[in-house]
Amino acid sequence: MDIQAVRNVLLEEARELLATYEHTLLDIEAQGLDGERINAIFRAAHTLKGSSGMFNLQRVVSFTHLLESLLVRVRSGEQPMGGALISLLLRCGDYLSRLFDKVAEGLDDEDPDPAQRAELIAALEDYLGSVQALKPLAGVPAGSEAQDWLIGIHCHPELFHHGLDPLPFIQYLVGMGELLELALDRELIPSLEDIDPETCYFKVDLLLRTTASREALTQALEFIQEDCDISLEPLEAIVAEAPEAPEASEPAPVESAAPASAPAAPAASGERAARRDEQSMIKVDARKLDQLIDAVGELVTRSARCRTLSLTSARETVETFVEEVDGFIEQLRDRALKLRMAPINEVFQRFPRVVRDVARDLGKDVELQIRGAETELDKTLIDKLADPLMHIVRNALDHGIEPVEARQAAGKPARGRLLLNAYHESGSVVIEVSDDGRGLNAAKIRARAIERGLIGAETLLDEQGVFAMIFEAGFSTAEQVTDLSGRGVGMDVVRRSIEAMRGTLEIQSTLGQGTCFRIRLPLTLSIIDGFQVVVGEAHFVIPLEQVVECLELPANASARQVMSLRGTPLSYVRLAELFELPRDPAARECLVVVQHGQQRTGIVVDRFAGELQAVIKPLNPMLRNVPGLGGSTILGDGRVALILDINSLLATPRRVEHA
Amino acid sequence: MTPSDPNAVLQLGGAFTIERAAELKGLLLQQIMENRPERLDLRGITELDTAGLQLLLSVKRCWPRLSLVEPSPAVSQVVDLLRLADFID
Repeated sequence: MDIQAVRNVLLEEARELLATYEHTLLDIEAQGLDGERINAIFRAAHTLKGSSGMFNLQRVVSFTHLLESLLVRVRSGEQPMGGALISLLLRCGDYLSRLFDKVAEGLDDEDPDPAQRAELIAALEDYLGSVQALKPLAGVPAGSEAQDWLIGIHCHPELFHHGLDPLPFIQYLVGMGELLELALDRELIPSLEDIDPETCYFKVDLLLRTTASREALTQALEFIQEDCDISLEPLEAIVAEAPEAPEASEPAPVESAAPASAPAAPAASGERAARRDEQSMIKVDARKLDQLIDAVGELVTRSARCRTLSLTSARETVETFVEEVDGFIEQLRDRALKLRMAPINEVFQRFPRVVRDVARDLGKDVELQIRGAETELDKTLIDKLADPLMHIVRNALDHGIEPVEARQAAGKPARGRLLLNAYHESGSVVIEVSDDGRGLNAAKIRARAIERGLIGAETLLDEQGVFAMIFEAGFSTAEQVTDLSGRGVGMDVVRRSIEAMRGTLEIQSTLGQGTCFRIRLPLTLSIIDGFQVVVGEAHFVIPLEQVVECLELPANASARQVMSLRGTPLSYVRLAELFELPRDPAARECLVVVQHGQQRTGIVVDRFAGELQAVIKPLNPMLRNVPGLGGSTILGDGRVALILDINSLLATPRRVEHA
Repeated sequence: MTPSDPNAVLQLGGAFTIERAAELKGLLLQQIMENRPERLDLRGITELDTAGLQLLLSVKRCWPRLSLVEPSPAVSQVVDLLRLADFID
C-alpha cells in the first residue's frame, strides 16, 4: 500500500471514530453515563490520537491529547459528566471533523478555524485545571472488602507503533487503590548504544490494594491488553479494617507472578474473542468491488450468449450445462452485490446530532427514534441518500413538528416524535421519515400551487397529487422563514436526487396528526431486471419494475396518441418517433404500459423480446446527453441495447408529431 | 581517556517522547560521547513518556556514574509513579 492509500484508511477510520464518538455522547446525554459508553468515547479519542501520531498530524495529536486527558478523568469519576461538558465534547468532535477535512485535502498544517481551536482548548484546560485542583484521595474506603492484586504488565516491543504508552494506564490503575509495590524491570532496557528508541522494553509488576473488581481492573487495561502480556492475580483477601500497615507488608513476591494466573487467562481470551467479532467488518475498496461486479456482468452476458447457442445447436446436454452455469452465476451475482451492501445506519447515525441541534435551535422538544438501522442497501445509494434525507428531516423538524405550546394546545404530548425507519419490501428498500406534527394542509398546498402557477385553478388532483406539489421547484408554504428553510435547496432537489437513484417518493399525511415521507429505492444500481423491446433494428430495455402490462395496440387508436384502456384514457408515445428510428413495416404495433410516479403511459414498439437481466453499463459519451436513456447493456447475442430511463423519457417535451 | 570537565553538565529539554525518540537517541549519544558530561540536567524536560524514560534509563545503563539531576515536574511525576527515586541523584 502506498502512503496515500494508508492515509485514506486513516481518514476513513477517523470519520467512523468521530461518528461513534458523537452518537455515544448523544446516548450519554439521553440515557446516562455508563462504563461502556465512556470507554467507547475514550477509545475513539485515543485511537485518533494514536493513528494521527503515525502520520505526524500534530494538530490532531495535540488536540486529542487534551481531550483524552479530560476523558481519562471522566472515566475515573473525577470529572462528572454534564450537559455543558457534553456540548463541549460534541464541539470538539466537530472541530476534529473539520481538521480531518483539511487533512483529506492534503493540508495537514492548516487549521480550519484557529479561533475555535483556541476557544476549545481553553475550555478543555479549564476543566482539566479544575479537576486537578480538587483531586480526590484515592484510598480504600474503610469497611469495604479490599484485596491485594499482583499485576504484571509486559509490553510487546511494537507497542509504541500502535500509538500507545503504558504510563497513563499505570497511573490510572494506581488511582484505583493503594500502590503497595512497584517494580520496573530495568534489566530489559539496553544501553544507549544498543537501544532501539522506538521499541518498547517496558515490564512492570505492581502490588495494588484495591476494592475494585477484576472486571474493573481488566477494563482499566483494556486498551493496551492487545499489546501487552498482562497477568492479574489476587493475593489473599484482606479487610481494609485490618491493621493498617502497608509499609510493613511483605515485598511483592515477584517470582510467583511469572506464570499468568489461570483465572485471568479465560477472561482475557473471552474479551479477545469479542474484539474479533467487532472487527469482523472489513473495509473493501469500492473500485475493487466494481471490478468484481464488472466481471460478474461479463459472465452474465457470456451465459446469455451460451444459451442462444445452445438453442441453435439443440442439444439437451448443452442446455442442462448452461442452466447449471446460470445457477452459479446468479449465486455469484447475488454474493458480489452483497459486498456492496452496507447498513443504512451509516447515514441514519448522523441524525441524532442533527435532530438535537436543530430542535434546540428551533426551541422544540423532539425525540428521534430509529428503526431498521441494520437494513442494507447499495453503498453508493447510501452516500447519495444523505443529502435528500437530511433535507426531509430538517423540513419535518422545521415545518412538521409544532412548537411546544402549539402541541399542548392541540392536546398532543409536548415532546414531538420523529421516526426514521428502513425496511426491505419486494426487491426495494423503503426509507420513511415520519413525524407526529401538524400534517400537510392539502387545501393550502393546492391554493399555493395555483397562486404560483404550478397548476391551473381547475386542475383535478387527488391528495397524493396535491402533496407532490411541495416537490415542485419554487414551492414553499412556510409562513415563517427560519434559517433552516431558505438554504437554497428546495424539496424539488430532493425529488430529483431520489429519482436519479431510480427511486420514488410518496407522502402520507393526516392534517393535525403527522406526515410520513416514504422513499423507495432499488437495492442496487448495477443490475436490473428488464423487459426487452424492439423497434426496427434497435433494442431497448425497460426496467421491469415499471412495466405494468403489455398488449397489442388497437388499430383504430393511432391518430390521437390517446387510447382507452378498460375505460380509462391512456396516453401513449411511439418510441420510433421519440428517437426518430425507422420502424419495421411488417410488425404489428405493441404497447407496453409503464408506471412512472403516479402516472401510467403507454410506449409503442414493434415487438416484445421478453424479460432479461441487464447489467447496466455507462452510455457512450455521445449518447450521454440524450434524454430518456439511462444506460446500455450487452445482449446475449452480443448486440447493444439501450436502457430506457422512463421518468426522463416521458418528462421530455414531446416532439412535434410527424404527419 | 581524556579526563572530563568536572563541571560539564548536559542540559536536556523539550519533550522526551516517542515522536522524538530516534532523534534524541542520536543527540544523546553524540553529546555524551563528545562532551563527556558528569551530569544530565533534566529541568528543561517538559514531557516524558515511556520511550523517553527508556532513553534516560539506557543512558544510565551505559554510563552508571553519570548523574541525573534537577528533575522537572514532568520527570518527577514519572519517577514517583514508577518508584525510581534512586534513579535521580
